[in-house]
Amino acid sequence: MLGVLIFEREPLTLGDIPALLWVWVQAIGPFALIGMFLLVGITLRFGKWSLGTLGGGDQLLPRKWMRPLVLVCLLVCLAGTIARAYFLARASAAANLAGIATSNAVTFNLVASSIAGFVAGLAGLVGVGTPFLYGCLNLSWRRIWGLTRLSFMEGVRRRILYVFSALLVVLMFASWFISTKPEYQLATYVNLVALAMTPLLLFAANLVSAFSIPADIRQQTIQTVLTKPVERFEVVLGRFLGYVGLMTLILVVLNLVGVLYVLRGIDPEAAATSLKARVPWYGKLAFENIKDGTGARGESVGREWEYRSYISGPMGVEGPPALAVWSFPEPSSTLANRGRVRCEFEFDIYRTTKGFENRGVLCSLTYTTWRFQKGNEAAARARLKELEDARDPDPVGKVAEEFGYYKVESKTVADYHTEFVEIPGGLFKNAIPKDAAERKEMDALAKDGIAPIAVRVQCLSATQYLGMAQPDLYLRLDDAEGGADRLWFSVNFFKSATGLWMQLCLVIGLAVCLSTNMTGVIAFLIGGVLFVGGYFREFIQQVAFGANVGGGPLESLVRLTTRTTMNAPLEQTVTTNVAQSLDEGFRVLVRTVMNVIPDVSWFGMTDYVAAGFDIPFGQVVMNLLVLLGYLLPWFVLAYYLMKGREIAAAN
Amino acid sequence: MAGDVIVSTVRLTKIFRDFWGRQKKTALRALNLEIRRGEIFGLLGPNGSGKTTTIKLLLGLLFPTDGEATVFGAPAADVRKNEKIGYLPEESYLYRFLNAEETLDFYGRLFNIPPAERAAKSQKLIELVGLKADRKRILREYSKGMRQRIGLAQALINDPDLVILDEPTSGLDPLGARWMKNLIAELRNQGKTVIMCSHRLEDVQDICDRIAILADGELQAYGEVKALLQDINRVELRASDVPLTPALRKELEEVIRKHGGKVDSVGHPTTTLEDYFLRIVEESKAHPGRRYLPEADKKPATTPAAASEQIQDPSRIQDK
Repeated sequence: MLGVLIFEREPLTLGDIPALLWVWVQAIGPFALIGMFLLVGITLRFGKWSLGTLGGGDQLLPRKWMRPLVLVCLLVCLAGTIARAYFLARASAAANLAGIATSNAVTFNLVASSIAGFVAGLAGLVGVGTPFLYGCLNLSWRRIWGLTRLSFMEGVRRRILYVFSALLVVLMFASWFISTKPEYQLATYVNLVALAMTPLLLFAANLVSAFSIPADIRQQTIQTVLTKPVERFEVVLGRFLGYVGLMTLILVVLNLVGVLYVLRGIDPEAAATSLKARVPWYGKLAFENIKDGTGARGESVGREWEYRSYISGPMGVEGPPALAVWSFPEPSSTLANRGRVRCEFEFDIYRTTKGFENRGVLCSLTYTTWRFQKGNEAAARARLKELEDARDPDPVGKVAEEFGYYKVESKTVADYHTEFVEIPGGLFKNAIPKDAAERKEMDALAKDGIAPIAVRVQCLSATQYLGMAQPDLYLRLDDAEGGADRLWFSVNFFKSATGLWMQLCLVIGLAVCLSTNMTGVIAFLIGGVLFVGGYFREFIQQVAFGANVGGGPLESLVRLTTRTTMNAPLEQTVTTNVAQSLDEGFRVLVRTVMNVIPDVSWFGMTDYVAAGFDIPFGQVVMNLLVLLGYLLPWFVLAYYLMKGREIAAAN
Repeated sequence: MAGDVIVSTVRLTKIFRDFWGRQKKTALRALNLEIRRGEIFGLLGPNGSGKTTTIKLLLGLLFPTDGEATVFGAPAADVRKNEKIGYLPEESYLYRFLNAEETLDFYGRLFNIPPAERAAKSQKLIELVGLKADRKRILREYSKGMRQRIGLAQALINDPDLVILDEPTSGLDPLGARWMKNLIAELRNQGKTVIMCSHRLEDVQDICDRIAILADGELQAYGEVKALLQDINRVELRASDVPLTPALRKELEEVIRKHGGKVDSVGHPTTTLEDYFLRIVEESKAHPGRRYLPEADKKPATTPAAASEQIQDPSRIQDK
């Protein structure tokens, strides 16, 4: 579907940072605990011995004060982790009991477990992070730059760039095999370029970076480097940055080729749909007058995909019509000063009768501001007629500004086509409060459910339904008639490349970190599996929280052997109980290990370009933060693995 | 100050273990060494005796199982000590996709040497090691000897106080080996300390001030070369401008016997093969176009001196 974006999960915003940090610190806890156990173990127990190729504590904790610090943090982290598990168990037990009294107990225990987890994570961060930060103080950017250049030159001179000529072959012959509807042409080409580039770049990046440090160790070139005043972590950073630089260069070149490929000979229909970088302003969707509804959802028409909910047209039953209402906050003055603001929408049609051939479903759209008084519709219409009779150059705009009201009586909705309405800028002028008192009044009304701007959609076709989700209707913050579509589309194309760039950083970082203490093949495979696992993270998450159909692995086995379907309740036998209890333990394990798997879905931004939507800068920043949050623990691990490794020991 | 101890090991022990901690091999056992500023110190021993392990422990590439090693007063694992160290590994472990200039530039960066100084030093060292004509060729195209030379250049890029050389003459022809030995002696003259380990005992004997001999990871001998090699139970007499006649031999034997000794042998001293080889190469440079005549074209030489004359006699050398 074109013209609108599907958000099954809300994109991250800067406001999510505190919550993300809270969760991140909690997730760090168990890993830091294991790390500190190893650190203390190697330092105290083994002394100057080595565990595999990991050397003594002298290298890992070079200052005397670090050992008691790590020990204290270990104890706090351990206590926090135990407390977290205890409160979680209590919350689980409380949840099994019925009654309101226990609901408070559940909340209390969940909050307590969250706090305990945070404290454990914080202690882990301090214990593992302090020696790491201390070690980072000795890093020299000039040396890192030297190692970065080396990695870059290595990549270039080993001619790995030739691999990417394969992309040109794909692009040259792809059009032979692709035939699409004209309006899909641009989106198809955008997706094709992304599809061709992504696996090629990711595979090459993983391959190059996973084998770099192991090759250095095998060929012993690293010995010549480490006998210079080089911190071992500088080698890790140098390799990482070098390959990121190399892949960035390749990505830029490939994107230039890609954008030229996409922009040649565009069909006008495709250009109208996708050759844009729309800046949408999304409102909050609620429903009114839904039978048995709560306001959050419309009616269900029985579609398996529950992303959209529906409003019905007239069904011959008395009562107010079902409405979908989008609420928008106070607009900016830029919108108010514009003559027209475009409102775009695309709804799903669900027909209960055949309807009329070659005709869509009709709907009306009513735009009101917080100033609009219910019942003033007739007055607004009368004023409009008056202005039209007086040959006013902009009667609609004036009425909208005066009354805070604008209505499109009838608009046809067609499947898979984005429709739009030009709203007079006067409506937004009306919505902006003129002074503090008005603003106060506006805020008070907003609390009562009257939004600064509201859009009400009503289905007018009898016996038909219109389906909608929150992002299906939006106001254009950019000027729809502003021109320079090709330029903004190209800029957006490169913005979407930042998503692939972050995936490359992730793969390279993962591979380089793993390769500090693994052979190239193993690092390549583990890095690849973790990354690919990221595409299945949603399913893994469902398994981890018991939300998947059919239960855990043992419950599934019981179902297989007893030939019970996935949805049917299981008979409560001893075997079933044991299987379900063991599955619960498995889920706890998966919940912990799941954090090792990157959430790569954040980085896919091709849909924005294909649908012709601008990628918000804030989203790029948030994705970058997610990337950092994931890679940082890996780099801390790499620091210790590299620092403690006996480089010249038998490979 | 001459005589300062700059490298010290105390009961330095290295046991290699497998992943599960089981002992695989004791590479070094309780090594006590002191190496002083300004000396050339040789580490000798058969394969697997612990020479390279000792060097790698000093460089922080391996961690000691027991005991400790200090270099310039700092623990061996402290990378800051590497500011004053130059290391030439046994094989020149360099990046083969770089050329000579890029190699030295890269290692110079690791010492945070400013760009202009780095470029000047690189050119100077490339000339010193005789690779000026090949400075733009990537190392993959270099012979082993050339790689050893550029390896030495990278070891000297930071003008180190301590130079550690693992088999420095490995892969070099006799001319190159002599050049390397002269250079090592020159480093000592500049006040630098050199630690070298080598299988070529004549190299060690030629240039080392003190040596340590290791076998099976244990120190077997340690001290000044001259003192260690001196055989106080034997007397050597060398004389020139006198023919070795039977009468002279008899008289010498009588004098030795008179003082209670016993003559083992009396004869002409022989030069080393290395000196002989170098002399021949030098002469070939002085007389281009000369070559050795086939055996059939020569008069039979009756004495070694005549044989030598045959080679040196221009009438016996055929121009190409």
